[in-house]
Amino acid sequence: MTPPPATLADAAKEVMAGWEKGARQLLKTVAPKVDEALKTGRTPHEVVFRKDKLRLLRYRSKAKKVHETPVLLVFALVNKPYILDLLPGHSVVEVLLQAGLDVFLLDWGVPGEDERYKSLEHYVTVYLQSAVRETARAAGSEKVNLVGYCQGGVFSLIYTALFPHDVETLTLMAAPVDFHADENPLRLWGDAANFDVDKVVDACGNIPSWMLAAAFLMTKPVDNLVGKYVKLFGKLDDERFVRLFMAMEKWVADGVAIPGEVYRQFIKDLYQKNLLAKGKLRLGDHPVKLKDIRCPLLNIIAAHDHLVPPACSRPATKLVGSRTKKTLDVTTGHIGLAVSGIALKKLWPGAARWIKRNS
Amino acid sequence: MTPEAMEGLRRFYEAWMKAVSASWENTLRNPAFVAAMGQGMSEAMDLRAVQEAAVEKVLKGMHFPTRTEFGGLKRQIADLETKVEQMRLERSRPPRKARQKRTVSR
Repeated sequence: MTPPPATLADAAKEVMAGWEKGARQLLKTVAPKVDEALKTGRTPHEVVFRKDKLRLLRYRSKAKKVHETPVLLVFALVNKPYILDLLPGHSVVEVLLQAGLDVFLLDWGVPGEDERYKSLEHYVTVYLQSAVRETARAAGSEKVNLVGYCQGGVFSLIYTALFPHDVETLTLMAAPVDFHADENPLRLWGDAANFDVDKVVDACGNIPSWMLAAAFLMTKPVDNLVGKYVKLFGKLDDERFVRLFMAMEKWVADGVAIPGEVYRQFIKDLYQKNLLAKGKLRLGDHPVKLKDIRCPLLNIIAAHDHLVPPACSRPATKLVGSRTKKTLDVTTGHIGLAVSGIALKKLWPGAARWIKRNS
Repeated sequence: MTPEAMEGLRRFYEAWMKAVSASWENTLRNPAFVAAMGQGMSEAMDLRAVQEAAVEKVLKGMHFPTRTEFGGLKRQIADLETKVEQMRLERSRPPRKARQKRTVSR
């Protein structure tokens, strides 16, 4: 039998050593299971094209026959695109594959110094064009069905306006178009009177992900710092909820820097001058006119979106020149469009039917 | 804790959340807060610019190329790369053809 500790300090040391041993044991047995449970982007896929940091992923379909015109998913530069294939059962990719679509995903990669001076024009007319071209080539199709999410939706809109013959249908998910339609915090903070984007880009180069994450967190600080954890505490016995919560936390913390020049133009021309909605945006020598978009448009709005308020995304339907166009309001938030039950059970099966019907 | 007490606690928490969220929302949109946040950011960036200028001054004295000079070159290279890639993509654009099938076997 070990002798009792001689002093209070010895007793405290013993307790701490016991805790440390227990914690190490717990981590050893639990951590691999947590890692496995939180493995994101699991739908089988292969990388069919690479250019600089960009990767184009093609998902393996189990369907014997797939729809001829492929779907290309385009996410924002701010976070990684695996939010669209977060976990089995919480995956837009999975739903689209089950609907018989040939699904591709554009991963912009993590920008480094090489991307710092690459412009919005480069991202749209070179990177996105290359991805569209390779998607069509790999699927043996002439066109693609573009699906753009958030900033990826803005890129997809601009692309479709510049290269209308490449796009069979355009689906937007919470894509801001009229940046001045709502006085939300991001719009106020990004206003030219309060925010000198030139100073920030000149000083930082690429905009670090923590800076963007802090801004997003600040838009709803009480919910983001207190509310969601209290909700988690109340649902600790719901394994499905906890797994999704942890995967979301992993994704939120897994941010990506934005290339400096892209950020500069995005803030100046879109947030501050609202040139896209005004029809005055130019990418290099190319004027971007949304009226030039003639393909069928599905504009998906998240009713509780605090990052891209519905008032900012709704005008896309009116501004494009398409004859076939539809606005779909979904009772969820910005990220809910990709992971919520309503999105995966109702929105995406319906969106897949719409894409097939119009392509 | 009794179920009544739990329910009371839950209601208190909900009322607290609502009040604090509303209060924060007002603060975040308050012109004085927004201006102060912008000013704080601007001054942090000024500080960074001053540090950068000091480093560049030392480098220049030693005839080393500076970040600004490298930046200018990289910008020109990036612009040229955009033009070259655009021309390459334009030249390799496949001809458009009429389409018939709606499904393909994989």
